[in-house]
Amino acid sequence: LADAGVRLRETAVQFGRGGELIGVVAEPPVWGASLGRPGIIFLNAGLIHRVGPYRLHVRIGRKFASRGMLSLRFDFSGIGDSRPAADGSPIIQRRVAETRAAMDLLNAKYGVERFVLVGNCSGAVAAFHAGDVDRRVVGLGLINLPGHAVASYYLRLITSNPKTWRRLLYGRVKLPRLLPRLRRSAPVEAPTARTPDFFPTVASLAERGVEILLANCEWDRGYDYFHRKHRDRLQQSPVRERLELEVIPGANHEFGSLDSQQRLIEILERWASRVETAGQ
Amino acid sequence: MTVQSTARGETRLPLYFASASLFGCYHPPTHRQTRRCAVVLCYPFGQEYIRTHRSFVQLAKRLAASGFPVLRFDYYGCGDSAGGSEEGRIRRWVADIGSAVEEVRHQSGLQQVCLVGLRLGGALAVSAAAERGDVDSLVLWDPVIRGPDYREQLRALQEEAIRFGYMELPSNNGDAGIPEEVLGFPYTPGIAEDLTHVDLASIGATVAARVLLIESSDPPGLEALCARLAGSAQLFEHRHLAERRVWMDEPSRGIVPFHLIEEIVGWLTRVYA
Repeated sequence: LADAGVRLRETAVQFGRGGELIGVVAEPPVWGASLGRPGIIFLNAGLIHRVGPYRLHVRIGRKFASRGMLSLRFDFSGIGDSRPAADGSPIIQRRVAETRAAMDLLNAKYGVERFVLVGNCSGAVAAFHAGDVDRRVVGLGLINLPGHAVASYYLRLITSNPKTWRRLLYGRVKLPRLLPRLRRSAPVEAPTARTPDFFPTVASLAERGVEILLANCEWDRGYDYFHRKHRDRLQQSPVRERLELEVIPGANHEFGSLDSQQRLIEILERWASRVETAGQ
Repeated sequence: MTVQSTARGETRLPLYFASASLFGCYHPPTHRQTRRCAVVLCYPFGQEYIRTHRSFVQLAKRLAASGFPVLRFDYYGCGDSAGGSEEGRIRRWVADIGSAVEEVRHQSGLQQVCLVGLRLGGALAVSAAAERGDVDSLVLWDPVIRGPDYREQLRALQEEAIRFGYMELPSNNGDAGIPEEVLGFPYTPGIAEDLTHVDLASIGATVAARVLLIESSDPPGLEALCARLAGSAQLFEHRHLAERRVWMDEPSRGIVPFHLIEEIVGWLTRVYA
């Protein structure tokens, strides 16, 4: 394949207990370049198939390949091209197991021993849980990780973004749904903070040497939770040495503009140079 | 509506073809009786591709369960196929459909091929069928009938995103008011130019012997297209289905238009009984 001025090889793979998981491995253009380096695994963002929102996983995977890093983008069971799983285990348990199956595949087929998991939204949740239980994980790229929804997020939308008023005026936002959220300061959604507890787990990951990128878009509610409410807590030792906090200004949760996509790619490229040596 | 489960025995084969430049996923038939026709699914492009991927998987799965070998594939510069998102051109994509036709024939061992296309994929399927002359049947699902109308729709969608989306976007100030991106994907002058030439009702050649057209609305040019298809195909059927326009829904909603999918599967099953 020719992309971004380099020739790289992309291979379709099928794995999992019943061969139900489907993905694509992007290999560096120079044979052997990825030896000794961690492999990158991209996890589904919600129900978007493995190419990622706006094809970002493809673009980022090819960038990493040009840096000599091998990557796999695959679909969890029941998403994209992967068939639904036959077992009825809880979803997060299944996603952790499938992420570990992806690591096993890269280890068996390409000899990769260390891994960096990258996910947006629910993909970040799965990455976080898999990183907690599998010591082969040396880096976590957590993009728009859902945190507690804080009332300050909704207040910020109303006070700082005139588009909120435009959306209200034109009926794009339903007031009956918005008002209860404004009154609430308690969490309405906190998948990462429930199990395992987020902050102690981040601390133990950092102590283990795992490099963590916590990147949120300016108009994502995780920005308020992680980058405003808990910034000081996250910058305490030992987390500080392993954590990079990044904000993508002017961007929404899905990276719906080419400019925001480019900013994310640049952030991940910078961070990649740090994780290349992680866990050695 | 009841949708039969096809999970038992279902397999999917991911593959690269056309000198490893195109990614596809082949669904072998899971019904005990293999039909005499293979099916190639032609996606829309840009964000419409992302939004409809789930529906295409379900359509492929249902067709395979009814005995049809099916190939879904990504055009050059789209999905997992080679090329950057800004490199796609209509000429190339029409040729890609030709490569997919050869690939599904190779995988299935069948010669007869049906193309199923949604939105721009419908227009590309018509062009490919007219050029090749060996496509047995066509299913056009809300196809783009006139490129200039589609350009206008894309411009309006981007305008909507600029007005209401929580993101900073460049204003529509490109040449002649053409946006440089549409819903997060590059919108190049090349593709904008290509679209000006799309006009399904003016295609002169016979596109296929059997054609099903499914529309959820009444777009400009529909009457002329129906007249054109009715005059050239041996069998032409037109259905109006007020089904969910899934290419407008965000993928997080996971909506699949099962009624419409059953309509397509039912028509092909009757045609290839």
